[in-house]
Amino acid sequence: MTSRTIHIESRTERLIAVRDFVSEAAREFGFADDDVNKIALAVDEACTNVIKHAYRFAPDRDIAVTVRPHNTAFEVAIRDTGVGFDPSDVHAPDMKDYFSHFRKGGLGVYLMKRLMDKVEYEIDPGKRNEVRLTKFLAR
Amino acid sequence: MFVITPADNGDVLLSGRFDAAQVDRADAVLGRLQTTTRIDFSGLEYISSAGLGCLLKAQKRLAQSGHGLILIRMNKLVRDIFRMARLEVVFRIDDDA
Repeated sequence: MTSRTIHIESRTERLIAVRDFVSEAAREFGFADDDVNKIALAVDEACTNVIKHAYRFAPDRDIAVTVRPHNTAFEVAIRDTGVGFDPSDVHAPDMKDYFSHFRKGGLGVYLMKRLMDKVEYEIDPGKRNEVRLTKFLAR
Repeated sequence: MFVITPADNGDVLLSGRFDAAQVDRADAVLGRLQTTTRIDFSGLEYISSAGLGCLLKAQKRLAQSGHGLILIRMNKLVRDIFRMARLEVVFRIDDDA
């Protein structure tokens, strides 16, 4: 497969287009359905975070999603120009505590880390924020 | 496509893909529940943390009056997500229903 990019507007209705784009590329790269679904979910979570936190639901901002093959690594980069957020502030939620206080947030980032092998951030608020999600394929 | 439908037997049926675009629709149905209710996942192909958040909100509200959601008939992907998110400590999940 070759690297390719999709641009979407920052609306939750566009998440399905991103999942379809990433699923097709992951399948082409060689992942089985189980891993394809995990990758698509991780990218959904990353894009939802951009819509909610970086763009604060402004509906017409740009989100760029690029898929790149690197030997056995399948990388997905999600870029935005919103306010960004510090992912180091997000800790794995304790579900009992999460539930009893009904804390919002944190679950999506936690799932992203569980679903992928590597999650990296480059944050430059207002200019360029990038989240890179990587999953390795056992060949 | 996502559908959330109250069934004649009192269950709530989910089908399609439950992501952040479906939160308002799901909240409108789940927010009306007043008693312990089975949520039938048999038609649900996909759920993200936004969907999990809707269910958590409903569970939290119902628990205050001694009620709760019983989640049934999940497919493997959805069941794996609940396991990964460690939500078994919050919901009653009936794998044999």
